[in-house]
Amino acid sequence: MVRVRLENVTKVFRGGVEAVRDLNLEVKDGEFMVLLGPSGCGKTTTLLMIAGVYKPTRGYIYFDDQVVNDLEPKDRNIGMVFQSYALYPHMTVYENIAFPLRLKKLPKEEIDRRVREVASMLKIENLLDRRPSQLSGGQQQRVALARAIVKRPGLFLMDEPLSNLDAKIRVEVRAELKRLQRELGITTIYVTHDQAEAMSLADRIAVMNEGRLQQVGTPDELYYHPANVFVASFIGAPAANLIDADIVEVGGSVFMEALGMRFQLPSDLAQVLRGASKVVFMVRPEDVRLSPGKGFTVFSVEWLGRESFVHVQAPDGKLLRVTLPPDRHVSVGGEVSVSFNYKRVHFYRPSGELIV
Amino acid sequence: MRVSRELSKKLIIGVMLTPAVVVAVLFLAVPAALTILISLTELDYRFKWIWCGLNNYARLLTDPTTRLVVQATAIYVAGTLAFNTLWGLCLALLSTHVHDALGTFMRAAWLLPRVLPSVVWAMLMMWIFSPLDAGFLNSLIINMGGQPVPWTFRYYWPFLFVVNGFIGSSLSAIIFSSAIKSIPPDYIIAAKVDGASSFTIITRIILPMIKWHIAFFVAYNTLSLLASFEYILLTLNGGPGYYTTEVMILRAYHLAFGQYMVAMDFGYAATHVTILLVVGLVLSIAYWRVFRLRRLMIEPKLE
Amino acid sequence: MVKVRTILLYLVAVVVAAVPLVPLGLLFALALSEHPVYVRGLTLANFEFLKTGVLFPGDPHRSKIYPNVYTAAANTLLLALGNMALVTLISSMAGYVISRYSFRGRSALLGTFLVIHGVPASVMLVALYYLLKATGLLNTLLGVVLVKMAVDLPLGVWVLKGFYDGIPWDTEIAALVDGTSRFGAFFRVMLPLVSPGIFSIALFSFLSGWGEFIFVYTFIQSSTNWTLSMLIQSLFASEMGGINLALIAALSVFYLVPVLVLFVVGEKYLVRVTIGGVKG
Repeated sequence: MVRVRLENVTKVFRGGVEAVRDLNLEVKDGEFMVLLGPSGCGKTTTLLMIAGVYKPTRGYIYFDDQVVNDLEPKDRNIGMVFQSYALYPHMTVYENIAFPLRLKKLPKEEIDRRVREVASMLKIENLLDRRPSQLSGGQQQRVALARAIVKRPGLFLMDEPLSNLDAKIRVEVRAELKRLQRELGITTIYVTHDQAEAMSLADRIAVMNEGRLQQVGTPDELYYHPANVFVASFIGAPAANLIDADIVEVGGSVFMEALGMRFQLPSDLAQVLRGASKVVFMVRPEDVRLSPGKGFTVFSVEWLGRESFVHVQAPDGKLLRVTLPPDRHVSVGGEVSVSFNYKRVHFYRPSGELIV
Repeated sequence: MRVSRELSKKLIIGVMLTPAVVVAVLFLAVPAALTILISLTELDYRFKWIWCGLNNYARLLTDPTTRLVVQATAIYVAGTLAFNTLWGLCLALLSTHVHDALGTFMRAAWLLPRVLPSVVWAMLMMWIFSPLDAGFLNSLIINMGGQPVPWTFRYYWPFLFVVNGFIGSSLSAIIFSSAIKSIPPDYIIAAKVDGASSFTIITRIILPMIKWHIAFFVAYNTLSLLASFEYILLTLNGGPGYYTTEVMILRAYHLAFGQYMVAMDFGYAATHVTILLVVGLVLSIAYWRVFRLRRLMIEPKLE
Repeated sequence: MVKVRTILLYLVAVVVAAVPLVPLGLLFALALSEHPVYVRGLTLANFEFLKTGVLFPGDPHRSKIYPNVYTAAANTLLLALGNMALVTLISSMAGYVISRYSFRGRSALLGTFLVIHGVPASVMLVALYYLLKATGLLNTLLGVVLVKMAVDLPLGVWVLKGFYDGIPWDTEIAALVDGTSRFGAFFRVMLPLVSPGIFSIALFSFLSGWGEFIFVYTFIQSSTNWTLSMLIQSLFASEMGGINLALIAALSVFYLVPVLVLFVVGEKYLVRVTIGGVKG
């Protein structure tokens, strides 16, 4: 319901720590936007600035074209869910959910109606009289969600809400969360360090590192067209292979020297890369093809049921990550030759930017 | 809007913090300064400020009672500290090696003297250990056909150690036992598996792991004891005899508030107190450094 | 198969635990004694003063010196309640601000409290006497309450600050997002969550005020302002000749009743305060 825009937002803490640098981001109305990045990258700080708990040192935050930098959290009409759920231990579940409505001074019947409505939406009607300490993690999380939803906010902010759940429940809750958001249509900004979670939940992902925005795009875009080395290595599991390589021209053809071997590059890539010297070569494990031959040795094999995860060792000793379809079998120690699906690879400058 | 948020924050801090700050200033800064000032005067019952510079300090150095006073203070602090620390350790070890219910009961029972009003505890101890025939212990001894013992006349230091020790050891017992309880049980289990006896476990594992707590208590208690005198006042009042148990702070008290109303020698009393203050301050700062108490003051997160 | 060593250990533990209770038991025995000095027999005669509060009904001379027991009790109660109210109020506010806000002088303030707490009040007595006399508060209960409160405040602030520190930031942020102001969050969420701490400090400061002696002894001159502690001490100091210890014991029992009741009820909380005071 609310469109959020961050313009050149910077946050510097006491002591000179720059948590967020020059952030420009737009979240569309009703969109599920995920802020993804490793610990300390500034994503939670950004979220708290959007919430109004922190004030940006520089830059502006807009809700629907209105500058909200100085607006108190209570006036921003947001619902927030925390990693720790942050339920009030001294109140019952009912009172926890009703709290925001009581603060708005709504009539008692209205409050009761809305609380029960939300409770049934999240299937926690039978827990209304309990205290948070009597609930399981999953139940507490639903209560936290209910509390955020009940005030019908224009914006949802979520700070790693699934991190404390058991792995098995996490996957189920993820799907439910996505469905819920679709149904309610509330703009959502979600923070996580788990790239799989981001990929499955987001309409768009904003990848951050060291306070800076690295790339914004749909999961597809980020997966197949990472804008720099960081995004390429962060998105996707098993992680993409990032290999240092040299580009050489021999007799009119362009070759890539990497892993102790020389690979001939197809003409379209050759055209772009001619003249470059040192590059970082990125190829995802599923885009590496193994065929009988020589050059690489199979180092380890993990059979995971729906695919095999294999490490092959290059002549120069480096390991390459490869995933194979379930029917392909290789044995440790065997020799293979390696080729790449050049339609899906990327080349980066040593400083990290994309070449192609 | 921007102004009001900053302003409201300052207002909240101001209103909620001011009373505490006022108290801190009024009851630390002002009296401390005042004490030092008074020590440089001949302030007495007339309440006239007659400056005499460092005369009082010179008087202190040449006063024959000073030697007795310093001696008494040294014995008192050392003895009570030893009692508090060692007996507190024993209590802590004992109460953590038995069933939790009994241990808690034990520590609670030993907390009782500390919680009782000082006059009651002092009176009880004086009656029990009274050197007269009517004293409780002596009446028991006489009943059994023995000779009454002049407890507080002859064994006054042990008596004081016991009186104060019962109060102080409950503190150390609580601190040490909570420290012992927080030792990860894995260490103890590993030691038992290795075949260590209980004694070895205590000396080689438990004690070294609560070193910090013991050191902290010793430091903290030394400071407290330097200026503690309530129970001495209520029991032996500096006696028996001529300043045998007159610790420095008690001497200051007597000088100022008199055993005999003629006293009221505030100037001289303040001199004694100033010395204690300085010693206390120096020690406090030393402890601050040693125990790196800065750690306890982590900066808050919100704005 | 219980080892002999374990039995011995438990025996020793039980004996050790009983030791501090013995003097207390003796006090009760003496209070109920028929003889004024030795523990003999069982009677409630020593508690006669409870009827009117007059200690020596047959002795007009003594009755003039010693105030009515109930007057002294009222003074004691005033001191205890006053201390409790002031310490609890001020430290619950100050503890919150120190825990949650960053401001200039925060370290200095905490440090100051640490120092006040470490150095006992006895060193300030001379200066405080002068201050109280200068402000006309000498010989008043109000003066004593103020001094007592100042002495107990650092501990209160440290303990409560510790409790506030223990509440996760998320809970407070959640309240802000839900719609409270900063003060609203304090009142509706933080205070209820530190209520164990507040209860502990209230209990501690009440007992501290109830048992206070030195400040009363030093600053109060008129016997109408005496507290029970003063009364008992002056009786004991003068009666040491051994005339009527049983009466003093009975009076002490009367004095002790709230202490024992509160101790049994709140021992757990008192331990918390003790530890909290040391950590600070």
